[in-house]
Amino acid sequence: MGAIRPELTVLTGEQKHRVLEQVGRKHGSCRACGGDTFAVGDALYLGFLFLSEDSDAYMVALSCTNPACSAPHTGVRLPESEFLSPAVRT
Amino acid sequence: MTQLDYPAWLRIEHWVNVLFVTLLIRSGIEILSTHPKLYWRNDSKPGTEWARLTRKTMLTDKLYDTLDEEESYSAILSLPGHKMLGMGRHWHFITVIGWILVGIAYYILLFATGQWHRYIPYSWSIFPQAWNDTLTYLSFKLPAPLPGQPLDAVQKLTYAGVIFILAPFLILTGAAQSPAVEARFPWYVRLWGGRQGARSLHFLGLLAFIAFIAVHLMMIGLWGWPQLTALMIFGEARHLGWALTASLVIIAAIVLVHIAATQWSLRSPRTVQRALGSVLIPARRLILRPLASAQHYSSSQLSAEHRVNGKPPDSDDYKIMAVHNFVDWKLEVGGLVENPMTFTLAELRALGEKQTQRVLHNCVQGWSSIGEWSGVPFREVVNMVKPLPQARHVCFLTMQDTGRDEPSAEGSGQFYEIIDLPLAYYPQCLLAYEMNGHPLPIKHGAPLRLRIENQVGFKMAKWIERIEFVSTCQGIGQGMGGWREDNVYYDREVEI
Ligand SMILES: [Zn+2]
Repeated sequence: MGAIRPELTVLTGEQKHRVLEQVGRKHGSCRACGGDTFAVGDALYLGFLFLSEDSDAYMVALSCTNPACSAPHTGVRLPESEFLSPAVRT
Repeated sequence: MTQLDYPAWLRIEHWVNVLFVTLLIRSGIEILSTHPKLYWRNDSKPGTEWARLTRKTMLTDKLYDTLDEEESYSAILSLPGHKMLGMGRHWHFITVIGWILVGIAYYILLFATGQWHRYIPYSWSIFPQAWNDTLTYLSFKLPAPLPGQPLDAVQKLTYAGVIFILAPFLILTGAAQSPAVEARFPWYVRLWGGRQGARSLHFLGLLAFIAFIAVHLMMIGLWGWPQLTALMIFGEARHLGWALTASLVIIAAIVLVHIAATQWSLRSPRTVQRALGSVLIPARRLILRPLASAQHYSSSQLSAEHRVNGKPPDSDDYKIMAVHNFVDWKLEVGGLVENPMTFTLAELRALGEKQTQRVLHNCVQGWSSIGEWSGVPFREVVNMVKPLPQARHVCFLTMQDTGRDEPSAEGSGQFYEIIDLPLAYYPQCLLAYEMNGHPLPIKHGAPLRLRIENQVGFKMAKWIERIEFVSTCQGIGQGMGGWREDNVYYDREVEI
């Protein structure tokens, strides 16, 4: 639907993989159904637009893969270094 | 020829004028303080101001808005001071109505009684004569008045300039800052070099008026304060001692009016808002409300960076909705309607034909930008939900929590604004989901904002989540017609 929102960053396969690693490490689960498998979407830089956010904060779109989930759209807040910058992998 | 004496009407108008002009100056400075920067170009681009009346600097690593740039001036300088733009606007507009009425009466009497001879020159020779008079003043001597007239050549020219050029110039450049006038007559604002040209010229007119007042007072001192104030109080140079006293009493009374207006505004702004609003609201509905927008700026005139006022909702729900491109956002439309409805963004996009308008945005603070907005004409949604006969206003409820999101503004709670229902049918009243050909940016109100091009910006709610048709503003906040009217005492009916 329409063009991509100007504030969103499209992630590469490798960046999405790093997001899932972080979600696994933080034991992230779906707010609606408790599921823990997600598809990763785009990222939104929060640091500039939102007063309370750290300057390196992003919101990354996650979609719960449970087909029965009532509210599959959720997100995870990650600092740039954990998924976006070509920082050292740990 | 008429005897150029000092008839009662002339004397009364003079002192009323002193009151009005000083009220206009102080309330004008209040309005200036809310965006103390002056530009020549419509985009008000940060850094392009030709004058700054503030020492504030903005950090650019976070989104800042023009509320952060607002200054708080002293009440001695501005009416009422202390960042009370709403009060300043009320006083400026109520006084300008009085000033225009007194001015019209003055013009009529001037020409009906032949008193115009005192101001309007008869021949070009007055210019070299005025130059000679200026040289005489500069050598600390007083020139002779023109034969059979009360004024010397330079005085006659100066008064003519103030009465027939400067005063109308201030009114015309003021009108050029009304969004309704600009929207209906885009050529008129172009005439002044654009919205910011008009604002800058209005400011230069203020400086000219202050310079005139300073020289005027100095001249009265030079020529003899008691003699001249006697002419302006008793109509002739007699009772000089009484004239001096009376002049000081009149000036003290004018100062008292200023002090009273300031104290009333600072202590009880709600009663000022109600009292002055009872005159201003009908006046604007009558004069400015009929002006519908007919703006079509070209793409080349779009501002590269459109300024913003107000910060996006700082909540996780909003951020998660945004990162999913607002697919989960819904617009509820209800209240006093036959057919309450809910729309997704995709449904709104599919509604009828997309309307696009390139228009000048007027912030209440005085800055402007030009943007292109696309969306669905609000009247189409209104026609679908079918307002009940008792529906009179439309309330736009937003996802912004002002206390959380906008620390530079007084007040707290969910942001809402209310418009009169007839405005919904205006040609450029738009629910916009795109800006400059892209999805509406978050800082400009994503996913949906209102555009009503004959009003100032704060009426155009951003981050909308619900639209409610109501019969009265009472019961919504403080009942004054919107969040800013309720919390910071702005005026309703913001066609200017
Ligand atoms: Zn789920």
